[in-house]
Amino acid sequence: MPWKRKLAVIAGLAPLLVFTLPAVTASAHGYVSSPASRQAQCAQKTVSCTGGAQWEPQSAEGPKGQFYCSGGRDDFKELNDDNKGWKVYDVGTSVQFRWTFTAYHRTRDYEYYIGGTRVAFVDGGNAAPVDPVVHTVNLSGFSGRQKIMARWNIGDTVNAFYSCIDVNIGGGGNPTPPTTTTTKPPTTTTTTTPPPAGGTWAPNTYYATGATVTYNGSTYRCRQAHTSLTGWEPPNAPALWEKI
Amino acid sequence: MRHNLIATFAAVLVLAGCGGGQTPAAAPPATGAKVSSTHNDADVMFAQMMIAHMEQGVDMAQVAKAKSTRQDVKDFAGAVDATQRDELTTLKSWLQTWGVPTTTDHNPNAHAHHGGLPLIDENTIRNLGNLSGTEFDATYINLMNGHQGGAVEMARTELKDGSNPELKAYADRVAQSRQAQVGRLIGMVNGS
Repeated sequence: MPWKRKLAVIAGLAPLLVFTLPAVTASAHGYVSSPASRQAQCAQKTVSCTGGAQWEPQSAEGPKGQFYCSGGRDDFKELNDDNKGWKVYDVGTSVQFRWTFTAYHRTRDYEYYIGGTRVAFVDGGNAAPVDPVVHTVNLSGFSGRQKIMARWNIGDTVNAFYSCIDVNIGGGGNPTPPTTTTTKPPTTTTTTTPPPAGGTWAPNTYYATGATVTYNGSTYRCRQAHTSLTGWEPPNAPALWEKI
Repeated sequence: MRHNLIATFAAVLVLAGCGGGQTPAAAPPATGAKVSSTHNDADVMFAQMMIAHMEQGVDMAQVAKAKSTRQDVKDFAGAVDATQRDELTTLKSWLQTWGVPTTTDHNPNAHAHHGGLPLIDENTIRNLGNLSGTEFDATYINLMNGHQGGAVEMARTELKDGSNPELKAYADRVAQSRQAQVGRLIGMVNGS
């Protein structure tokens, strides 16, 4: 039955058709999360940023082949500012870069640059990335303060995603995991000292089960241990806080 | 494709010794907020996409609660699990109020005009279930980081294109809470 064969052919092609639809730029995003890239520090709010990177660290997107940390996006241009107080990671000559993706798109390759010199190339096989994506990059021959520019080159668009990471090569001698040169960011409050009972709720604070807080004049009891954050205020997170 | 993905997901969850559909013993009441009737296509799409997205987040939280070796990761996954179950209940009730389906096509390309539905693919989920120890934790943290980054994008689209006041207020809370989670997770993957 010819029509059956035709149907079988169509059915066989259907998955391919899905994956060969034109890429939507908004559906392919990613950046280096560790060591924290410049946009990661914007998102973490350890560096005060005003542009799009604080909301979408994954979207420093632009045509391939550039050397802008912003990917050439005007609303991400603060990422190009070398003097914005970015955290500088002490590293050895071997550094592991870990990527975060908000969408998984076919990948041509990844490139890492110091200045105009390409220090690493990783073939993407034109396949979607599968976490974990961690690249070990050899920085032998370089020392001191350097800006690493990483590019994620998409397989089926003209664009790439850009991440810049500031390092001090030979500054710490401990290749992995990266050690920081500054104090811990405020968003990572240690989780050992519960606040006094009955205090005012605050973000980035560890609350044990049963802890009580006040918020806008009401008292709440913690249902399960967690470290609070903006958006999990007791009235907005009844799963975490019981009004008493 | 969708059935394969769901089947894979179920297999991963079974391997991890947990079930995404379970209701926690101490389930708190949903926020119970009522929704007004005004809504547009962007509202419906956002609510449907958030439901699919949060169900995946809850499923991954189950895996992390079972497999993580870090208490801070377990606490985080537990809080995501609890808060998103609550938000799922609310969103589903709002869609029911409007008389529209709570499910949507999981194919990301079906939502291209809304920025795509940022779900994690089956290979990645399968691989997560195969990891253990510090690499499991680092990968879960990074996956959730990207996952919640996608939620921030969806919420900001709703704030721009949506019309329902309650849903837009919810989208604002999503933008804030997921953005804060992204910041927390970046700190966690960097060892602090």
